[in-house]
Amino acid sequence: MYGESVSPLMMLLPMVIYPLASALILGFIIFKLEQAGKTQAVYLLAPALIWFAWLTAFQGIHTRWSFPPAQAMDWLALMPLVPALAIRVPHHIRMAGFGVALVLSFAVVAQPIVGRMSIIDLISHTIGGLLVGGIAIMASDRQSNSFRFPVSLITMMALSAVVIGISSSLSLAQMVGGLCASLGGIWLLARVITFQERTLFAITQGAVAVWLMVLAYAHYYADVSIWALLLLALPILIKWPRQSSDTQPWWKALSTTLMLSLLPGLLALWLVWPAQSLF
Amino acid sequence: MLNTWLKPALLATALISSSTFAADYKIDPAHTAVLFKVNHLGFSETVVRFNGLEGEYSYDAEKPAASRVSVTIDADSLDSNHEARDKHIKSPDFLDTKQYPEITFTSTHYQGSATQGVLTGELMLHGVTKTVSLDIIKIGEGLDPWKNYRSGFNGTATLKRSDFGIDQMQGAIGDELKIELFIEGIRSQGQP
Repeated sequence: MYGESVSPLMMLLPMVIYPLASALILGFIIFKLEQAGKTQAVYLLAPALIWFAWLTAFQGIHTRWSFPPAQAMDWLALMPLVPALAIRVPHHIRMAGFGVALVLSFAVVAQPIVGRMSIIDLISHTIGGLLVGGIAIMASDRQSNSFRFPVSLITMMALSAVVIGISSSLSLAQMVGGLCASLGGIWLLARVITFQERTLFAITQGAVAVWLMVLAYAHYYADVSIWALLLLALPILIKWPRQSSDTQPWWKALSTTLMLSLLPGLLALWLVWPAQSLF
Repeated sequence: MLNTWLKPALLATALISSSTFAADYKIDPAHTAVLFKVNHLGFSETVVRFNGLEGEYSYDAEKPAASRVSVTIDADSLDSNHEARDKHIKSPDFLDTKQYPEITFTSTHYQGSATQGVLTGELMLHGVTKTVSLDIIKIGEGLDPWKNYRSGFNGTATLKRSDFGIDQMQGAIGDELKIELFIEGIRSQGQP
């Protein structure tokens, strides 16, 4: 499909290998910091970990990335850090704080589009963004199962990559793929070493922040259906059973989580499936 | 003494006459098309057309060097006769039309005769501006049945999309874009 100059292996490097490897390395560093009692450093680094790992995927996909940012996609590399760190705002204002951080940082990414919007559009899109961001962070705040929740997120992310790729943009699909690999790396690492629960949730919520930014980019810049994106993200509302009371064997828990997280995504896929073949 | 006054006067007359007699035309979108052809997997060439464009040009058969053209293309109006592919070409993978909604070409100079020549100008595509040369051929000019004065030209150019930062899927989709321009304009009212 991609011709001779871009081999599948070359595509896998930025999409899977780089982010996976960086997530493993950064996760291990955070684990060591945690063990050394550097709580302040872990507190700040944990939500940004996935963003750091994802950047390694980003620079391999958007090869003309420039700093200072010159175009929307350059801004997309930097701005997810803001909502990722905003998950550290106090609990009682987290929903609003995260929503505002998400909307404002995306407004920076979407400068060319925001500049052409009417006031009514601007207000309605801001309200929509605040709602989506607020609900997503609230739903992830309720989670208490560090085994199932990341798996559910990885499943939704993988499907969102397929939906974006089929809808319009392969490079954005690859970027979501990089996000999947980053979170997948942390999940795998957590099977081997024991993170503190709150650290693992902070890392996972950081992944939610980056994911929402890329989804918003896919909707605004690549015309991916907002309904398909919302539909495939619905399983974020599922409250998984508390880890301590989750008595199912791991394979059963994994398959149930995969299936429940997959179903709305398949419907989303059906929604965007093109009438004609893409290539 | 006479020579001192006469030379600048003649020069000024020449300059005034060139701007007075070079007729200004408004591009008629109904009879104008801009398209490009790009290689697909080495098997064929895919044709993509832009349906929305506007602009004007100035042309005088007596003074072809004074010819100029300015065109603005609505990047979002592209049509490759395949809806899913259109969406992909408009996406950030290629033209990124949400960020760069316009493609513009403004000529800087023309070299050639009244019927054939090379028009050089600045092409702004995907946010990148580069100098591009178009081979131009005049098709015809004259009054239409409704007494509008029209003229028409065809133009061709070849450029590399990677020069404009459009470098996704190299190999499968050719780097070379063959641009074709079919332009017809209506002379502004009140012009000779």
